[in-house]
Amino acid sequence: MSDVTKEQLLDFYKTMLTIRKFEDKAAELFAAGRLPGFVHLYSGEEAVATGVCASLTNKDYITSTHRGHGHLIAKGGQVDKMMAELFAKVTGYCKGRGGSMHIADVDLGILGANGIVGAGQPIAVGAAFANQYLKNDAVSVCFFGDAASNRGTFHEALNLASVWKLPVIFVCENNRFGISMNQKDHMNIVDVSQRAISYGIPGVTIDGNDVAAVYETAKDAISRARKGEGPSLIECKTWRHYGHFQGDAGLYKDVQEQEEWLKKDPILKLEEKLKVLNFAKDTELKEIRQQIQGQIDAAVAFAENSPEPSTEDVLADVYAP
Amino acid sequence: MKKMTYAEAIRDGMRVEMQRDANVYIAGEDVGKFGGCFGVTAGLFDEFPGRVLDTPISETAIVGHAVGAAAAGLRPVVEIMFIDFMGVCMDELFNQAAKMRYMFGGKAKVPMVVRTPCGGGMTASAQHSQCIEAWFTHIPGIKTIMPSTPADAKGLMAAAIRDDNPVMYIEHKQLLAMSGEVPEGEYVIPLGKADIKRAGSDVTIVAWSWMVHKALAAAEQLAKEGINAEVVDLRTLVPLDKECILQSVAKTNRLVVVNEAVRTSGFAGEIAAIVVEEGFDLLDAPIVRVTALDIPVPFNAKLEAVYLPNETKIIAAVKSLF
Amino acid sequence: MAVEITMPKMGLSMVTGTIAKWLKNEGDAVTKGDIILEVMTDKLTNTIDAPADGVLLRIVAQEEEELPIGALLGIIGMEGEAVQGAKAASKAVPAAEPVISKTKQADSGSHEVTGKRVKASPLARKLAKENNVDFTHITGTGPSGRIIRNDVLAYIAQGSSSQQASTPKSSGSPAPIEEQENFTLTPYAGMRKAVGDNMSHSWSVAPKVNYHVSTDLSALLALRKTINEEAEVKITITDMLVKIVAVALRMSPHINIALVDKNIRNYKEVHVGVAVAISQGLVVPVVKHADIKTISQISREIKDLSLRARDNQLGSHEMRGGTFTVTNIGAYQSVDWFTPIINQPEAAILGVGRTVDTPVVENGEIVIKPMIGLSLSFDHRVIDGAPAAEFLGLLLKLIKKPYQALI
Repeated sequence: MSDVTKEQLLDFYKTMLTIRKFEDKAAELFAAGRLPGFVHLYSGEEAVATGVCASLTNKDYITSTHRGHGHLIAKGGQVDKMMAELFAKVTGYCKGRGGSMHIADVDLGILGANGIVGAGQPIAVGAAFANQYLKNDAVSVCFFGDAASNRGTFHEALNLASVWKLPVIFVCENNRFGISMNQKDHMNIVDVSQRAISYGIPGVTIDGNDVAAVYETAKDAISRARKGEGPSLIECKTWRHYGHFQGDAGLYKDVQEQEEWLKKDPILKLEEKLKVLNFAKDTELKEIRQQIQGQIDAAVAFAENSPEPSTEDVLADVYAP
Repeated sequence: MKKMTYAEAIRDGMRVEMQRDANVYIAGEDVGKFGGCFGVTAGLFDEFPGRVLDTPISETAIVGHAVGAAAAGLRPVVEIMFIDFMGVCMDELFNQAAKMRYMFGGKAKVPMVVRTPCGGGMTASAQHSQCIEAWFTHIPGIKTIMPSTPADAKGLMAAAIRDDNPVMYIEHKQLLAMSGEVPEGEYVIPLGKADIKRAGSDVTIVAWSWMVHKALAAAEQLAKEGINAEVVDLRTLVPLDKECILQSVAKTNRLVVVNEAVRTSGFAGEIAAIVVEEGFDLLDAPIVRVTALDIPVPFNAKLEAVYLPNETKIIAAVKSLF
Repeated sequence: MAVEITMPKMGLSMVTGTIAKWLKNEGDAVTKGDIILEVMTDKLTNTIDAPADGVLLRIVAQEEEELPIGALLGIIGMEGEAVQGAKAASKAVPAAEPVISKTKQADSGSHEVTGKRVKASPLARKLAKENNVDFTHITGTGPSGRIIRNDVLAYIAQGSSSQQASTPKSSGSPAPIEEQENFTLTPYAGMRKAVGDNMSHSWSVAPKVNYHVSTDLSALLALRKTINEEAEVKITITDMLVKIVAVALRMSPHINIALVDKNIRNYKEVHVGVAVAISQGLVVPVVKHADIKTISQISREIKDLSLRARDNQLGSHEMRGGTFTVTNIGAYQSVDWFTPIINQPEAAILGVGRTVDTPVVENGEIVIKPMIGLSLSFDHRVIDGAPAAEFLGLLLKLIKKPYQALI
């Protein structure tokens, strides 16, 4: 904890709050029928993306998931371009061609959210190989869920990363559910980090709702990777506030368990911490909240006022010239 | 010009491009010291230290990592030992590599080559003999190349590596040992240009890969019987040189498409559909496909011979049009 | 409701019948019981009555086609009625060789009635449309009797393509498509290509022999002069030669033949084609039954055919059915003899060159005679040298005594 400064914690707070407000707004817009397609929300897991990405630069790569809004915001994505993409507008990150599940910006090192569970794992390995090959000290981070660690991609990716000693950090967001299926029903181990043993790489399990813990752990792993010491697996225990997707009421969740986890909300925890450490007062936090809400509202206005893509461009960008 | 085999020509194509561009590297199962299961990469491991990488038997990771490496600035050339193994890594190809650029609004590029040998006639049975090029041609965002000669193999390899898109470079096991004259040094054949391997006036035979040679043999036989066949080698299936096909059919008014793949939903059907749609009035006879049978490739050589297209079947198909 | 006219059984032993003649044209009104066509069997010629009142909507079976009992010959219905579900004429055709004696088209799927497609390749359809050709008159030689490009080209080459005055002359000389510094490019297409293909075909299939001879035309010229002093329509040398050729053909059945597929057709009638140069190429209208027509009939017919040929107004039926062709280029005064190409599937052609006053020896004296150059080309596959020479000799005899041809 000692390394985390007040400024950093406040930055984390702003990032996490931006994610939360973005997701709450997306939920509201979706429920109102104003968003096309479907959305998977990151609320409750903000500390993971925020804590990990705090140690990354634009030269570093991440691969994200279908629940990717949080990773993108934490990696520097702009909420207006993201919201425009959710609205399928031409001003969105993907010009309205990708949508919620495919937001990407290679310039920011974001190799995409991904609609296929586990698909980002080998891609992150490839990006890490590029970093190693180009000797540019950059790393890549692969975000994925507990259920994605059951995919073959996970095993092939970890194994290859291990034998090639690649600068990649596998960050498992264990939110306890593979869609509706409880972790205890979809794997026979408690900690996904145990799987690292099979590949001869370090694996740890941490509290994914404690942004400072995530930050510290990820920072170490990233640092090892930058030094050429190979990949790591970090399992962050966390909880998904919403259902798998909007429209899923999450009735398979244990009510009591949900209550308990809501009490451990990473943002609440961070607010408490800021206050206990006397880093921020209620009024300051309220000010931040209002400021961020303003950004999100502005993003929605930007998205709604943006034009749709031209049908004339429907064939563009299938192939690079 | 230098005489070399198809396999050597592929290697030469890769070698020249690796000399040209430090970001080109090779990865795959046993491609390093061992030189590849068919010896295509032999010698490159020593020639390009650190740039020819053996991988675990992990097709998913091989193709998947190539997607990430390509998106991050490299030009991977990965080998999948047999095209039959592509089923193991299809998501990496068709949902990731193929769609990235479009889904990301044109911002990403994925310059990667997947080299893989196809084809039957070697009693290699059902999981090591297939021609599944139609899987890839069915996916927008991927280019598909199937060279039939050593010179084409080299020129198209260079073009594949220089291309900023995912390219399926499909070799044919029957052709690896075939030798021919190949230009030395840098040699690039643009993608999307078919090649008329034999000019003729009476019927167009469209073929690619190994089947080009079957078509040529059939054409020689037909010539003796007064039918002058034109053999169009597509070389690249995507992008497709429709103009060349249509121009040939405009000349001959008859079309036979030869495809080693199984018949149903094969690329031969695609060619037929295009010619009917865009060249209907050029046709003086129905379009006929000569393809493999709709069965898994049998092991027994006699059965496999029945399964595969051959000169006799091509000749019969051509004659049915007159 | 359309009514089919089918080949009736006319006698115990009858298997097939041959269409001798249609007495009604498509579009003619008919009353039930009207005689509408004549059919020949091996024994006799019979007539077929209209099975219903209405309009002859479609002639399916062409003259000279040999068809089995039950085969569809034509359709009668209401004017403008779309004919549907007509059963194929050919389905009953037995596979036995003799039945397919005349043409390959016995697979009658190719001759169709509205509602059932003519079997024709897309290219053949396009060519036919461009040249305003009606498929029902074309015999398909492709697989399964399909009409293919060459069938249409051969058909076109036999005559002008246009059947309707109002139709645009798409078969004419294609417009230049490209201007170059030293030349223009014109597509080799339309009638030019049709003529060309026909010539190539004939050249490639027929081992052709050419005979050349000059003969004294003074008797013929004198006769013409006499006739023309009286006649309303002035007759030409061509008119007279057509008559003479027709009479000679009537006397030489072994010349009045054609090689079609695997059979030699020995024509019972004499129809002489006359080559007519038109701006877009060449057409060969046919003077039917020239052997039994008078010279003035022939003359009127050739004038009419030539005029209409130059206006592209000939009906396709007027360019079909020739059994021999005469091509006269004497008017150009530039050629004595040439080697005309046979108008396939006919077996011979007579080329007529210029007439030149020439000193010849007659009865031991040199006299000046108007000598005409004649060139006979014949297909050695079906006509041998001796009968051809004999035929040419007969022509010479008739030219010297032309009145014999008129008797």
